[in-house]
Amino acid sequence: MPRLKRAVVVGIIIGVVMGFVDTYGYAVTGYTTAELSLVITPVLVMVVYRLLMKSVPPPGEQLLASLVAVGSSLSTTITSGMYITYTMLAAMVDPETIGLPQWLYYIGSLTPMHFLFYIFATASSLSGVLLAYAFSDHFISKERLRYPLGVAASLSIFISRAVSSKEVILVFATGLLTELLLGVLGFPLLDITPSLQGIVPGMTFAVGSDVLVFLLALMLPLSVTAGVALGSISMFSVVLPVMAFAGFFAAFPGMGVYDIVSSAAPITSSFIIGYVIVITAFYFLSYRGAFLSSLRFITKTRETRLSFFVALTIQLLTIILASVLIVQNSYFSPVFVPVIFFVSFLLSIVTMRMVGDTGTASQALLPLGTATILVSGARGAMPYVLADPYTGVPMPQFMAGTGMNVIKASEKVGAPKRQAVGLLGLSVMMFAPLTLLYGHVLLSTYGISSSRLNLSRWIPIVAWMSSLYSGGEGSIVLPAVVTGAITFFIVLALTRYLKSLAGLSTFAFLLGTTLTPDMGILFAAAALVKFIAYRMGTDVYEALLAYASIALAGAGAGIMILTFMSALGVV
Amino acid sequence: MEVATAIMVLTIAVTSTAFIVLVISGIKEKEKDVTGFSRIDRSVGAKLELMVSILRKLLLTPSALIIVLTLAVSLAGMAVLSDESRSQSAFAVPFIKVESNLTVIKLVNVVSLNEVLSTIESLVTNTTGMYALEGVYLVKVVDKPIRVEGVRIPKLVVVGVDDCCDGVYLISCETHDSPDPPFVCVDEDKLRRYLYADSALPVLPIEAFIGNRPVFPPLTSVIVASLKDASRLLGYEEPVANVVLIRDHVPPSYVRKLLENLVSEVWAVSEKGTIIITSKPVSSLKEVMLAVFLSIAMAVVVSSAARSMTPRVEEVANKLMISGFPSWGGAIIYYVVVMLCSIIAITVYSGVAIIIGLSTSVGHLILVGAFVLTTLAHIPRTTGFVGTDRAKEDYLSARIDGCVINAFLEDMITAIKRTEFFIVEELTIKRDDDKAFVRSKSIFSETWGIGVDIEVLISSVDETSCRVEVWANDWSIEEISASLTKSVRSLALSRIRSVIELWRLGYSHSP
Repeated sequence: MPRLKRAVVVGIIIGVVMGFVDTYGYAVTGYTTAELSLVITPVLVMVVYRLLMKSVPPPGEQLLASLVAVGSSLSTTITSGMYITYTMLAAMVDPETIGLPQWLYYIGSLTPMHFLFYIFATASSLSGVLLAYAFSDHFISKERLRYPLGVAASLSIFISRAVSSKEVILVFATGLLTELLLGVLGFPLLDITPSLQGIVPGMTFAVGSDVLVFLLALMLPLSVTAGVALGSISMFSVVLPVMAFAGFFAAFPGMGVYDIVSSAAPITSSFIIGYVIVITAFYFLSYRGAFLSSLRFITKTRETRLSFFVALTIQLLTIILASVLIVQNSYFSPVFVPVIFFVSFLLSIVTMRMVGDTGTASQALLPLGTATILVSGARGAMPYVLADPYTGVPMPQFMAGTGMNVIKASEKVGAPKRQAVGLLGLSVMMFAPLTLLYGHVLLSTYGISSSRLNLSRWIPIVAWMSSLYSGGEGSIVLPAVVTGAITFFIVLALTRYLKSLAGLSTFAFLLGTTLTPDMGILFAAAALVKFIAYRMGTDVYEALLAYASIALAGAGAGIMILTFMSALGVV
Repeated sequence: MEVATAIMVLTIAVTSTAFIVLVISGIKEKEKDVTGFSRIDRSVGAKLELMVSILRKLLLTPSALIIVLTLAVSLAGMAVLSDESRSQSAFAVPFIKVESNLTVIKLVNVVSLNEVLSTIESLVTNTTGMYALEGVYLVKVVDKPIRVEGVRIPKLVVVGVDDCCDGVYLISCETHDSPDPPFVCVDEDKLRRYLYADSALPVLPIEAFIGNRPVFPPLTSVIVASLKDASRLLGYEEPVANVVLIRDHVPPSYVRKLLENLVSEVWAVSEKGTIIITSKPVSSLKEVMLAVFLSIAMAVVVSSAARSMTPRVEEVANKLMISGFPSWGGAIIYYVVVMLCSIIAITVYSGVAIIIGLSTSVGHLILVGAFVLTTLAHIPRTTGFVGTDRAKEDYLSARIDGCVINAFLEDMITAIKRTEFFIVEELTIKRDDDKAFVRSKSIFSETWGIGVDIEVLISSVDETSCRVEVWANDWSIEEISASLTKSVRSLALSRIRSVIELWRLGYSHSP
């Protein structure tokens, strides 16, 4: 069988399983292995090759097969993930009141319009991958960004080839069994937050047991891991207590870490908006020369030029669709259409930059998109559904970040870049209808209040969305926006003038502010481990990275097994 | 809608075409051979084994044992003392307001209606009898969804009301306009009349706060029935309740009594806001003071133990330094020992706490913080960390007399290629009449992820001499300290430098 065909077949086999796992995992835990699947799938690909094909694929082929499977994971964030979220929203508020069309959520059956819209949203999101292709030389060669998840994926590929070695099997099994054990125990959380509220309201402290997050933190560069930890600790130990003291959100004795996180959602979102506005402006001012020359370079090469303009055309089509569908909305001014388009493009670029440092941007930058639409005076769900990458469906920024990791991985393993990007895009498109169907089947089977499909974690974000769609009263807190902007300058000054913080990533700090404190503590622990390993010698440090990537793959496989066990009612 | 559909179809078509074109054009691309990560250095295993044996020796010393025991006992002591120092607490919630004064009493568990009435009514009517019992409710969030007319109610909150309808279950007409008996659909205003003692405060549970705004479940998820029917629906044999509403406020002395009897929270709601008094234990200033005193006591003991450990650590570090360990190896060993001690102590405490039911509080956080600071203060000073500087690009420039560009270029290429320390990944050579340029990208073969880019420009100055300029720039996949990458860079440059020096000395064109 030709190499490409073989890679596609193996990728599809794994993708069909991973799509279900990610749909269920995303719905129940709110976390998804979608972004990490790039690291996890190469190991699974190797296992399938050995079992079915009785052969070991070349590194490039292994990556291509992985990308086909990764497409399935990525599509869940757009299709089933948002389908379930909107179903929750429709259960919480009257859909007619906020103008939520029926083809967005569960109504008992899937209509052709459901499929058309979610496949369109997937296509629109993929404009991000095309942008990544166009800008890959700029970020990888000019700015020399690391793209740690791309590097981790290549590590995973190279190490999984030695899968027969005892060490690799042992480390993989350790990751898998630890994840399973913690999952069966319900991921223990040591939460001091309830008693802390009596002394410092708004302050949170918790130690979690999320192995996946800890291993990911080990994979990132030390400056990034430390930056994320510092961001999270600063947010939950300094910023939120001050805001709670000022009376901007509820913080009572007895409230746990997740109660505080949901109560403070408008504050954290507003803080992020302030920080993102300043960091974006600062970044573009600092790199204006390099960007101008990159843009000139992009327009000179046929492929990159084509990729760039097709990406812009797709984003423009999405905005035109948004304008057409909300034309009756008298509050929405058409003047804002180019502004929203521009902000979306800008966010894609900054996301690619941030992912270069942090591996994953999560959704840290996206509240700026939400704020732009809110400021435009838009009311109702539709403007957000179509143009807001944070609470809406098309997510070109998320895809752009992942696209950059894929390109980095393909460069590291020597796979054809165009083929890698092309296969990723096609597989996301191909799996979109299937993963939407998965979401529908889960909702038909369990509803939204079953203990087997516990969606309670989504209540705060859905409540925030409903408030936003109804006019946004209290959704954005101006003092928090200002605090976010000032914080950026403080962090920048500290990294410039404080020797011990030199090299700390301001983007990593931003990512940290969006993570819950239990994760911040895990990042701090990982930073300490990396610090010690690094001092023990580069060989120890490399071994730590290599083992962490295999353990991460094991933990990811553990999540998959846990998902099946949970769906079957075993745990 | 037709226009919208057309735009969607167009977007899907454009995107699919773009990716198909990329895949097809990518077929012509060739796979590159890359130097992958194919080994995990055996020396790592040896180094780790050495560390483990050292740590085992250091951990089995009286000093380490004292550190572990002190921390574990302090944590356990804190748990016992903090449980005693905690009390009921009251806090104000200014944004929950009602028009007339109300007291909401929430019980810890669901109990029988008779028991609720005897507990609450005795407390209330024993005073002056002026407090009116507004209502007794059963409020329960149900995990299992139910079907009405074949339609699944996705989320369910059952509310039993003492003065409600007998034999029927009231649900919102928003989702079910003609349900089968015993379900009866009513408009939401009617449901609200049963659920809201005041227009601003339903008896429904608060699901979350968004900012200062409490989020209640939507009325489409609520079933209202009489206490008897609601209890039966939830599987109780007799009528049960868990929320009591009293018109006006109850005096503090009665609140204290209430909290001692089945009650978890009392809400005193008025037009000025709400005071919530809870029986949940909350950390107090007294607890913080206790934690500070305990931390000081712990720090004294841990300090002595850590100090007695330092000479031993230094002794080991000195021995290791002779075997090639860096000068700050002692600090690393000390860090790891202390970290392991704290992990062991916390694990022991956690095990005991789970078995005998001790709680964790702010005091524990203060204790652990104090422990970290105390141990940090005793890092072996003679073996502190060496600071790192940022990596810099190296630049060399030299004039060589008697230079033949082609021959010199050949030597230069040989020097770059023939080295056991580097694998040349890329090599670009450009030759002009009076200039030559070499650019190489090499990977350091001893470790993964470190490399050096070297650019050499050779230009003729006159007929017999030339100028050579060399730029070397190191890079690494991960953050590696400048001192380490500088060594690698120097190693790469040493070959180039040797060629230049040989030519300057007149030894040209080495075989």
